[in-house]
Amino acid sequence: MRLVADSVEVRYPRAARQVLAGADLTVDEGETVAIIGPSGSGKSTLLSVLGGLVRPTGGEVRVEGTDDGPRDVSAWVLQTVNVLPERSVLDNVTLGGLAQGLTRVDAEIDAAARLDAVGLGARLADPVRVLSGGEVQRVVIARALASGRPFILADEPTGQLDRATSAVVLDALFTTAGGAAVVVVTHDSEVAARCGRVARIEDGMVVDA
Amino acid sequence: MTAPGTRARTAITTRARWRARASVSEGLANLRDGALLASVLVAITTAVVAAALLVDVLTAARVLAVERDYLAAGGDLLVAQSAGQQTLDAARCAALADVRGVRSAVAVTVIPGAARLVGRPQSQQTLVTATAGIVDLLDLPTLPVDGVVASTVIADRWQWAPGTRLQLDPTDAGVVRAPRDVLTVTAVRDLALVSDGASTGILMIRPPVGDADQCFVRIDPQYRDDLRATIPAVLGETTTSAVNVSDRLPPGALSQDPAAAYDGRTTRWAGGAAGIVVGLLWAVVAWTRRGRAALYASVGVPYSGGVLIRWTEGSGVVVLGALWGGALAVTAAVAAVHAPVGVALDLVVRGAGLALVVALGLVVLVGLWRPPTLEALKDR
Repeated sequence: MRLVADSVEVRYPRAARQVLAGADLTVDEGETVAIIGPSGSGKSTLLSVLGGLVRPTGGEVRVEGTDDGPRDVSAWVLQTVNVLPERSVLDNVTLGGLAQGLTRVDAEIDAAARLDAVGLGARLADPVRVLSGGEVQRVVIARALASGRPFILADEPTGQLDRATSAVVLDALFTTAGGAAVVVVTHDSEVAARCGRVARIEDGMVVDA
Repeated sequence: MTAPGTRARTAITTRARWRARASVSEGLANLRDGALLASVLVAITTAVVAAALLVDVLTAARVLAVERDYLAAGGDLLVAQSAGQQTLDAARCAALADVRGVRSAVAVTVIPGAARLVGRPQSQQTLVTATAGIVDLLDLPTLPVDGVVASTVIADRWQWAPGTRLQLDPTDAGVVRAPRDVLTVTAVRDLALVSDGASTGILMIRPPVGDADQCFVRIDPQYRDDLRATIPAVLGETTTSAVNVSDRLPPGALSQDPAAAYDGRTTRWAGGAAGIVVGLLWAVVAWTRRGRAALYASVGVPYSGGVLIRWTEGSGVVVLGALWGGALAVTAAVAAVHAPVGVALDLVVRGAGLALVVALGLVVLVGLWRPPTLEALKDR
C-alpha cells in the first residue's frame, strides 16, 4: 500500500499565499519518513493532506492498493493531547481496536499488549488524566497502532516533551510500529535522524525527499 | 494505482467495521465520564420541561374552571317561552329531548306563593313544577313519587336536609293541583338556575302534560344557532303565537368562549417550545464537545459511528430530563395548585411527548453535524 501526494496545492480561505504549492511525496507501507522544514513551510498542512483532514485545492492525494481514502488508512499522533482523560489507559487504547471492528474483549486484549509494548503495561487501569505528558503520548501511539491503520501520521509528537521523555516516546513510536509506515513532522534533527527518509519542505514544495 | 480487478485481493478496508453497539457503549460512557455535566443538563431539561408543562396545565385548568362555572350558571341552556302571557305545551317541550343537539329539555312552571306548609303559618311557598328532564338539568338523583327538591334558600330557612318530611296545606294544594300527601325532601339545589323566582321554591316532578311557563333546553354548544331556529317550530309557534328563544345567561356573562379558549391556548405548544430550548442547549453543548467528536473521527470511528455516539449522549439527557420534567409537572400541578388529575396527566403526557419529539429531532440534527476534525482536535 502506498500513500501518494501528487502536486498537492492548498490555499486556505482568505490566506495571502498558498501553503502548499505543488508538493509531492510518496510514502510506502512500512517505511519511516520525517518531514522537516522551517516554520510556516507547510509541514503540518502536508501531513493533514496526507491523512485526509485537509482537502487539497489542487493536485490529489491517493492511496494505492486499496479502495479506502487517506482518512481510512491513517492514524494520528498529535502534539496536542488527544485522549479521553477520564477514561482508563486501557479504555483509550481499546478504542483503536474497536475502530478496527474487534469485539470489546478482543480489543482490550490487543490494547493490553500494545500498552505493554510501549511500557505502560502496569498502568492499564489508571485514568489518563493522572499520566505524565510522555505517558499520554505513548497511550496515543498505542491507540494509533491498535487501530491497525497502515500509516501513522505524527505531528510534532515530542514537541512538548523533555529530551529524555522524547526518547522514550520515539522508541515507542518507531519500535512498535510493526509494518505500519510512520510519517513524522518535526523540527528535531534527532527525530529526523531516526527515520529512514527525510523530506524537506520549503515554501510549500518538497525540495528534497 | 492498482488495477481495479486486483483491488479486492489487496484492499485493506477499515470503513464500516465499527459496531453500533460500541457507539452506544461509548455514548453512555461519555455521559458517565461527564456525570456532573450530564446531571446539570438533565436538571436543566427537567426544569424547562416541567415549567413549560406546568404553565400549560395551569392555563387549561383556569379555562376549565371558568367553563365549569359557566355551565353551572346555565351557559348551555336555552330558554323558550311564548310571547305575551301565553303558555307552552309541556309535551312538546319534553319532546325536544329527541332533537339532535339537545341533551335534555324541561317544561317548567313557577307558581309564586302557591301553598302554605302544614305546621308553619306565614309560609306561603313558591312551587315549581318540572318535567322529568329536570333530573339532568339539576344533576338530581331519581326522585321517588313523594320526593321534592328544596331550594337552598328554603332549606336554610327551615333547616331542611334530604330526608326531611313536609306537607302542603291540603286546601292550597288542591287549588294548584299539588300532592296533598306527606312529601320527602330528596335533594337540595340552587333553583335560581330555573329562574330568580324559583330560588325560594319547592320543586316537584310532573308528567309532561298540560301547559308550562317556560321550556329549558340543555344543548351541545355547537348546535346553538341551529336550535334557536328549530325550537320555536317544535314548540308549535304560529303566526299568531310567537315563541321566543334566548340564552339562559345574558350576553357577555362570560368573557371568553371556554371551548375556543381551551383549544386556542398558546401554552398548548409550551412542550414544543421547551423541546426547542432543550435542543438548542444540547447544540451548544455539542459545539463545546466538538473536540471529542473529532477525537473519535481521528481514531478511526466512521461518521455513522460518531453520529450514533452523539445521538446516544443527547437522547440520554433529553429522555431522562423530559420524563422527570413530566413527572414533576404532574406532581406540582396536582399537589401544589390542585389541578384536576385527569387534565394534568393528559396535558403533561401530550406536552412531554411533544417536547421529547422536538428535542430529539434537534439532537438528531445536531448529531449529524461533523465538526472539522483538524480544527476541533487543535481546540482540545
